[in-house]
Amino acid sequence: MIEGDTQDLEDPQAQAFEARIARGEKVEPRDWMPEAYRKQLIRMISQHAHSEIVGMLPEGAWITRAPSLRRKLVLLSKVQDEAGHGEYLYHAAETLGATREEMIEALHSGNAKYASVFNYPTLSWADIGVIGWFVDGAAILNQTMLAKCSYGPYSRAMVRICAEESFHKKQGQEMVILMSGGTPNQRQMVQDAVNRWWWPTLMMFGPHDTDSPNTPQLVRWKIKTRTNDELRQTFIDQMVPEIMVLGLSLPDPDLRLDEVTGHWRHGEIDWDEFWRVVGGNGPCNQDRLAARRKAHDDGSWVRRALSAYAARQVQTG
Amino acid sequence: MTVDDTQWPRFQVFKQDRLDVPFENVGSVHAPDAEMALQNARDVFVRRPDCAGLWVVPAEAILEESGRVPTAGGEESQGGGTASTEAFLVFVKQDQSGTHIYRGQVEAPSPTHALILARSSLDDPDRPGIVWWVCPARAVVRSEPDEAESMFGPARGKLYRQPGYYRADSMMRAIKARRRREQDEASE
Repeated sequence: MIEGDTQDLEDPQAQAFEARIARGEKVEPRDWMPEAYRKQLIRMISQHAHSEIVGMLPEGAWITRAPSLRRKLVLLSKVQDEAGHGEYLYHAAETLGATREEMIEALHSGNAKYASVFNYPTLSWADIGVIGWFVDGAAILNQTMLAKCSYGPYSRAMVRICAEESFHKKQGQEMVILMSGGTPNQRQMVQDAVNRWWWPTLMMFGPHDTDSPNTPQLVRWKIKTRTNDELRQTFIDQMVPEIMVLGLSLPDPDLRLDEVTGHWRHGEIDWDEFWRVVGGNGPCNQDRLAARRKAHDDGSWVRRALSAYAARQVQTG
Repeated sequence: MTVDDTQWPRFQVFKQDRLDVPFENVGSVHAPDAEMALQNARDVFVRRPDCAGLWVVPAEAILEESGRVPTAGGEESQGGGTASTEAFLVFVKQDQSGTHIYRGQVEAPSPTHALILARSSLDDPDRPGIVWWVCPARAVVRSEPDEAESMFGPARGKLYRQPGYYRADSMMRAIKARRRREQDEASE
């Protein structure tokens, strides 16, 4: 049961709300909604926004070291998109009454969660290709589902994000294809990146359905339309044949094709590692938050200057 | 966090994709004033082509109404006949999955009256509005048509922001075809 989900189901407002959702209507900010619906959405959307913002850091580290001008332009504009997507999502959370100040404070103080995958380091240039193909590919699956979400502002933000992110995946996939057909060093580099990013990417979909107590309510409210395990299965089925055809291997000795169902079955996910990273003890959690806080503090003089300018414009008319 | 952590007021942003289509709401930005709001809106919402103009409106200047029809009542309407009027911009969400799209202007003595007028004079009976927004025309700050090229032109040249710029799909098809040929030859 979701915290706060204690409203009487006899309540006519709650019944009318459930009926609207069942009819496929979108909920808008000023409409009546159960407190638990609002809380769940603020939690999900703000975490999603933080993920876009923190997600700039692992890739941003390679902008100055991109091997060509073309690759640098592509990476710059991908990272710039993530900043914009964070803005779209903070906007959607604000329509529910969360303030920007609260959300930024929660992120910087370490109280907010964001996608655990961004707490892993980017050790080589091949990581940029693999992140684009795997991590953005996984994010697009999740976001394509959320574009159908029952909350209007979140669904509209997702539609825009999905349209813009399709190039993020394509540029990564193109890099992996080229490197996997390149020199022995390049092939080794891209295989190493695949080995390091495969499991963190599978963890992006979240805990197994049996350990995800919020999911049934979120599905009933049409905030989500598919479960964590369903999305993870779709991702694996899409990716495994493509990775194999490139002559790359995956770091899962138990991975096998289930001939009966046609689904690829993965080995056991290390959930201890997942919860360790979510809990703040991944390889880069401290670095990521320190970088966010530094960027915020370093920008303080810009905010002060803009505020002073705006105040003077008002004074002088 | 340390100094000056305000994120400034919120401005709703309306974007026009082409000159022959209406402005529509795309989201909001924070800024110390309308001029910076317009600049931020350009950076946040125009990283892709298809922008002919932007409007920003302080979020608190917008009155929203969904569902029930507002009724003129209370003190506000008593002087309605004599009060001076001003222009209000009207936006309406018509489709469940759509956003708020500019519909037109009404002259009214107050935002509440503007909503009532908008719903009676600007609604489409075939596709009735679901959510209505009105704001005083004087609260809207618009991008300058003279500056459209410098504001929105640069996004058009950045083809690498489109998925079609990459050859991933055709390369993948070619590799799969080659693998199939190799397997066929090996099995012969």
